[in-house]
Amino acid sequence: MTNRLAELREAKGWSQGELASQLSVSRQTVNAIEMGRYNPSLPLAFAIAKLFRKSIESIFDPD
Amino acid sequence: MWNDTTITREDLREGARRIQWWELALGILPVVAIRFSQHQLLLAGHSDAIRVALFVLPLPAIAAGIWGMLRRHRSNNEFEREVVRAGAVKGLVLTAVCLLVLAQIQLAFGPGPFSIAYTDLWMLPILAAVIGGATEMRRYTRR
Repeated sequence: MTNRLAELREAKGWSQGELASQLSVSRQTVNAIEMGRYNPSLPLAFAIAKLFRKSIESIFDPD
Repeated sequence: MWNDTTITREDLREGARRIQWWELALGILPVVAIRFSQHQLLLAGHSDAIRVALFVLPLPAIAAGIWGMLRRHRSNNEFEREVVRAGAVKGLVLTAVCLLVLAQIQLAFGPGPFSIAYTDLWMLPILAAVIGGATEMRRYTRR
């Protein structure tokens, strides 16, 4: 699964730590998702989509 | 500002900030209680009643340690739980392999420097789970 999280985060000018604190997760969580090493749970994916005001499928691509 | 590298000093500081002093105590207390109990039980001269008391002595500390571990696990976020779970699985396999290798060495060469006492075996899965967790965290967060 690929995602546009890093691109969306950088567009907002946020660091990984700032995004992590807004999502109430650790920075490593954001880092692992951006690197494609970890797929977030559905609640976290919804939280990410809500934060960026986008749909889940526009952020996460199952390839 | 935190950057995009794997695990930064700030991450480690943040992790250390989350650990309470009593959580450390709950981690150390069972080890001290078990070692004290084992040391005393190996000594001759205690009555049966005292031996039973010494046998039971570490159980509350172990229960408190398990409670502390479960409490910490529940407070982890989903990614940290995944790392702990994957680390525990890796630790289980590592424990089995270590025990097999140690047993084979002992069978082949007899008791030697690699022999591990039956009373020390409980440390092996804990150590293996810690190593497994650390390697899993590294695997998930490396560049």
